[in-house]
Amino acid sequence: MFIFDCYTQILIIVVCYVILLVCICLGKKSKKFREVQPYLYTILTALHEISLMYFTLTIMFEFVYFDTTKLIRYVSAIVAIFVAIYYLIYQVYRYHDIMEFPMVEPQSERYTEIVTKYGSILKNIRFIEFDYQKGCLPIKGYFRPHAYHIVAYIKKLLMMLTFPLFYVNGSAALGILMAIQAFEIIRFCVTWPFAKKWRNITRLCLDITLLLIFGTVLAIQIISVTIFGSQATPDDVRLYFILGWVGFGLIMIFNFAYFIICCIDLYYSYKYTNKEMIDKNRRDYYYEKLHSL
Amino acid sequence: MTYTWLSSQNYRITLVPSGFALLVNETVTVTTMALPVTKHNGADGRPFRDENYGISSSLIWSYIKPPGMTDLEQNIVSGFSSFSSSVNTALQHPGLQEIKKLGFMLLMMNSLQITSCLLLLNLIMPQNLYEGIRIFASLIFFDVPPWESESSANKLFVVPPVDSMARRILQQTGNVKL
Repeated sequence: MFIFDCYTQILIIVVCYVILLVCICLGKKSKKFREVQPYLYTILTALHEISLMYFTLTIMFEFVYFDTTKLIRYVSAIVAIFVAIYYLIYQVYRYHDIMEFPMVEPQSERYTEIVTKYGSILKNIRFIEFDYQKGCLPIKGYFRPHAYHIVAYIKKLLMMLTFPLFYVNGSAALGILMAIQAFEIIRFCVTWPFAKKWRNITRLCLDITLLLIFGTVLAIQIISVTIFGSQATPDDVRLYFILGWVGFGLIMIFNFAYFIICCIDLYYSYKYTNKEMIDKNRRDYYYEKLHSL
Repeated sequence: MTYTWLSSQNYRITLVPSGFALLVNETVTVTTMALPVTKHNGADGRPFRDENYGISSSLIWSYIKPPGMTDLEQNIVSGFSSFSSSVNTALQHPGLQEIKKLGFMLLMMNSLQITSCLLLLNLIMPQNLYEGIRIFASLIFFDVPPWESESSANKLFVVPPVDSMARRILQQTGNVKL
């Protein structure tokens, strides 16, 4: 049942919301409770990020395994649909809520609120001015650095859905994954989202690595058609395994690079608060702007 | 291909694939002797039968010969395989299982989501790539337990299970009786 697969994440998200609600209520009187809030928002962001894969896959499997004769499957499917709707609302709300960040006064309450809520996704982001009017087309924000992580979340959601939806045809699934990733690389180059150059270059290299991984697996899929037939030659099979090693190496690089980036992030999080890092990026932007005049 | 007489009426054909092959459908055609059907009588009254040695019979054989890797490659792959299995076994213990279900490892390596899902693609990967992906996927996915490995237990909403389809086709062709 759907709840059995994801109950830990649902439970922790609910517990986090309850604690957050308590902290918001008590935060009006006590500073201590206000200080805890950024950590809770960070945990909630991380939980939504990591649970994406589990929820997406279980929702899709719920559809695949659906049985009209079992009541439990109806209950499970309804829960799955509710969770999906919640995720959609959560991300759409965050996307629109974060849009006004560049135009908010640094000393205002709204600025503190945004930094508290979205500090974990804004701390490494390059600051640019962007006048976002409410009601304008959401796509205007797709190429803005401060919306980078939220739009990346949509990209990841689409990728996750591709696996079960196009399961029947492995080549089609890989083609779609490559198209999504290619668009992501273009978006990355246009957005250039991070404040530090090394981070931008590293992440761009990793995005290209992911595209190469998909390309390698697609090449394996194409060559496997030959070697499954009667025309297989030793060279074809050797190439099949060589591509396997190439994919193996790329996957190692991709995952370990993310691990190293995570360690660096942990170090910076220990050294600076989210607010300090966001303020620094903002200062750097205006400093450069003044110098360019 | 080797051809061995087993008795006066039976023989064995052994097909050994040369080089590398995974799954091959090969048509094997043999010329054989038809069983005598018509009985004749000679001028002297002695019975005899026709024997036709020109009968041809074809069969489709499917065979598998997994391509080999070098010893070094096999050692590396089997090393990764045993490590992944150990990680999977270790993370199935109560408590640790919950940490895995929570997706704790994804906090450390967010990239695991996309690379692990490559295992769900409908293609046959080379074993080296498969083990490379599995070693990371073991941190967030569980191996399918034996009681869930039976595909006929699946209930599909729009498509009947594969075994039902196969049984129906066999019934239609008269190969299986109800």
